[in-house]
Amino acid sequence: MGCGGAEGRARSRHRGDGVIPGPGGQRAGPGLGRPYEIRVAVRPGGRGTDLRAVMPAMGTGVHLRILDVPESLARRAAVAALAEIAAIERLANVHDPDSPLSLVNRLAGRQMVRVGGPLLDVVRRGMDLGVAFQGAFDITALPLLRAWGFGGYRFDRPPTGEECDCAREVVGRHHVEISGDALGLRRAGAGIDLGSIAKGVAIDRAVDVLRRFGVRRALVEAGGDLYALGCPRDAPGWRIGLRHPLRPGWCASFPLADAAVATSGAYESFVDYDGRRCGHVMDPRTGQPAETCLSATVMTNSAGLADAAATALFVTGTPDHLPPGTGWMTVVGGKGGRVEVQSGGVVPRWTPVPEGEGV
Amino acid sequence: MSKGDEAPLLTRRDLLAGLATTPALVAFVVAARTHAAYRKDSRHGIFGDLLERLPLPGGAGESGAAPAGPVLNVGLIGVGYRGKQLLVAAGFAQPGQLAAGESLGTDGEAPLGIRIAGVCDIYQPNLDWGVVASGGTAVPYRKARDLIASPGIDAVILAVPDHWHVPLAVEAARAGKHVYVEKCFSHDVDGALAAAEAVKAAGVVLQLGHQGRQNSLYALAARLAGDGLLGGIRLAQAFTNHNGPVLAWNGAIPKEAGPRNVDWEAFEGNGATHPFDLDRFFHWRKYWAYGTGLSGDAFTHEWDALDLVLGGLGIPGTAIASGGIYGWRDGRETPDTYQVVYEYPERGLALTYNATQANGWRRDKILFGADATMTLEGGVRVYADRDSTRYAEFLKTGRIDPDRPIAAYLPGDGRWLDAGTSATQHWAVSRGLLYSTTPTGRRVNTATLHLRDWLDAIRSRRQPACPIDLAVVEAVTAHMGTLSMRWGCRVRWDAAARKVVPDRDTGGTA
Repeated sequence: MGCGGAEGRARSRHRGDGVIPGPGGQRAGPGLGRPYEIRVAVRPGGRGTDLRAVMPAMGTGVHLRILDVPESLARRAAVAALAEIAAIERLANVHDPDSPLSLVNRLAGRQMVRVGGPLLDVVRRGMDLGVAFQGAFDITALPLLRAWGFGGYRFDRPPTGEECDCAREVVGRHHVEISGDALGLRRAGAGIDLGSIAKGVAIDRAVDVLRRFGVRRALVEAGGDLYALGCPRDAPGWRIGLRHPLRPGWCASFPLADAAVATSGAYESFVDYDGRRCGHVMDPRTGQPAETCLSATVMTNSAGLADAAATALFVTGTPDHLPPGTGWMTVVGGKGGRVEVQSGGVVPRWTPVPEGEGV
Repeated sequence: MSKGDEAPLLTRRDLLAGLATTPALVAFVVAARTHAAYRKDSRHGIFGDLLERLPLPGGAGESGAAPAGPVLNVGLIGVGYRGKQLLVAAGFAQPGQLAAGESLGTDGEAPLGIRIAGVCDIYQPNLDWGVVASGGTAVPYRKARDLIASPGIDAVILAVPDHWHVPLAVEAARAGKHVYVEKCFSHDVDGALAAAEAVKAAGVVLQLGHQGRQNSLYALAARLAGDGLLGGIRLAQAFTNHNGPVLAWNGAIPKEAGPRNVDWEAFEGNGATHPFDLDRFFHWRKYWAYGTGLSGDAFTHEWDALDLVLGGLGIPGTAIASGGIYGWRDGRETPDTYQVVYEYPERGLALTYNATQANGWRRDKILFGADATMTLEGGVRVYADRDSTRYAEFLKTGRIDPDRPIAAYLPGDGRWLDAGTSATQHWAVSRGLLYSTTPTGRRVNTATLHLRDWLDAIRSRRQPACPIDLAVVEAVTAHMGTLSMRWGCRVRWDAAARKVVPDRDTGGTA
């Protein structure tokens, strides 16, 4: 079978039509243009305000908490921060056929698309981190995801070695072309997936917005990645739980302040091919699903970096490539269905959560 | 950002419409992740439709704004254990409670738009407590009748022993006062029917105090059951296991209590003439003259949940029950062990319930459907039935494991965490649902929501969540079980005579 063979298994979601509308670079309009909710509690005893906001975005829920600023300021800051996240999602959402990134993928090998600066910033950041992590993280791994039955494709069997090789042929940063404010892919079948960095970048941008509003105590979380800005009064940090990869509940908890944390794992998204469980995190170097541990978590000063680094840690299973100043935790399978948490680097003092607690 | 850049906040309807797919789908991915094939099935298979249409658990809405309309003047009759809880739920507490960190039900919520204009209790310390908690706005009353008659009272909350529910509700209705009354609605069947007439004639809004009706968990379970995920449900089980003196209705009696500060005559009422007895006064649930036993006190909570999940049970056709005093031989009259079977022939359903006050094991409510089984207690889990025809293909290919839930909503933790880190969005699902959650994950006191629903119903002249007709069904159902146990035979509901009668067709002997 030649390298067009994969198309025989796949149902393409969107057929290219050659249109180049150049929708990129748009900022959020006057409103978010999407549902969200904000609630503010004025805590008794002069303990200030406690704002909580939620917005569905990036295929998950974005949660925001702001403490101890006047209510009107907190509301304005929250809306602005959510708008920042919504803006990134509009640009980088591969599940939205009308997003600029989807258009770039659809026109791979044919034409470039004018996407604008914000999306290009994310792409460049992703490419740089790909170099830093020596290929263990790669924003162009979308063909591999497709080959294994993710990203809108379904198969009744895993890809053959030949099919994997075909997918790998179009993976790599050298297939990405940037010219001015336009983005393109040099090979048909190539594709960009920013799923392991866009959430983090969006969180970082939202935190920057909050800082500009003068917010000093906040928590921004999107799909399990988060940034802890400051911490609540009289607390060493925000209380963060590390999700148990096998069961509902948590396997560890730790305080976090002025730092980001992100977790990568395959326990939420996987396919089953006749008993072989294949996670959605691909090792771009081998074309195979990563299977080094159950989950990998990275703490550092940027959510975008944490997001990508957690993916790379999950792929390699080793913290060797992590930059100085980061902390890491991996969860590996233990005896009798139990799990073991390993950690290193600049990691907060964490506490194991006993089995069955917090479920 | 300029002022004009701020987006207008959406209405609840808009919000729910917009969120309807995402968080609910997220919720059910919890279950999906436990079984490899399910995640795909959830999007492409038989579950896809269902999950896409699931409602968002919990209420949503913008907080901070007082409700439209004038402040309502509410009187609380009964400032005992439950009355105090309701005051806190409504946003009123003693300064000491707040200093100790107790949170009001309205914290972070819109205020209810009420003033506690009067409180009434026949135990003086309780009365004093209520006045302080009201912020000093409440006029103290020793006689409930005086509070009800006060022109300064628009609505009353009745948190009194069961035998006083109907007399005070009827009196309030006749005075044109809206009523929030604790369960069990009535002390007997005739009382429930009479109260319904009075309430309807007066046109006031009555809310029965089943705050569980506001629990987003049950609303979600109702949607699942209503959408047919379980197939035909022919059997439902519910339980109550309580242990320890408080839940066995033997809470501490205050040392200062005595004839000096207890109005015994006002407590007895209903023609009862027992000598002064602090055990009867504080532990009234143990005595038939005042309480309604495990059926009225504990079963009605379970009934309320099942009625909501199953979409309205109506009055059962028959009931057969038994019980005994096996764990607390302290002179009580009401059994501490109780079991009952209700039959609903018209809808093809049997409901069983049993209870003990001598064991605290936690048991799930279970709904047994032809295609799946749902467990319900602190979370919702749905398991495909091994012999289901609906899921046969999935079971055959191993894509559904009958030992693992095909759908689950497992809230509960998060009370001790601010956020969680995970591979994807697990946290959105699992944050606390001690009572009811909003989309932001906040836990909200269901009693606060239930009071708010009552007040909104008064202001907008609509039916509340647990209105008078449902109160009658609740009371009749509870009393059918009690009567069956006390009569020693199966009973049935005679719809024409509107009475519970022995079921002689099946050999009843009473």
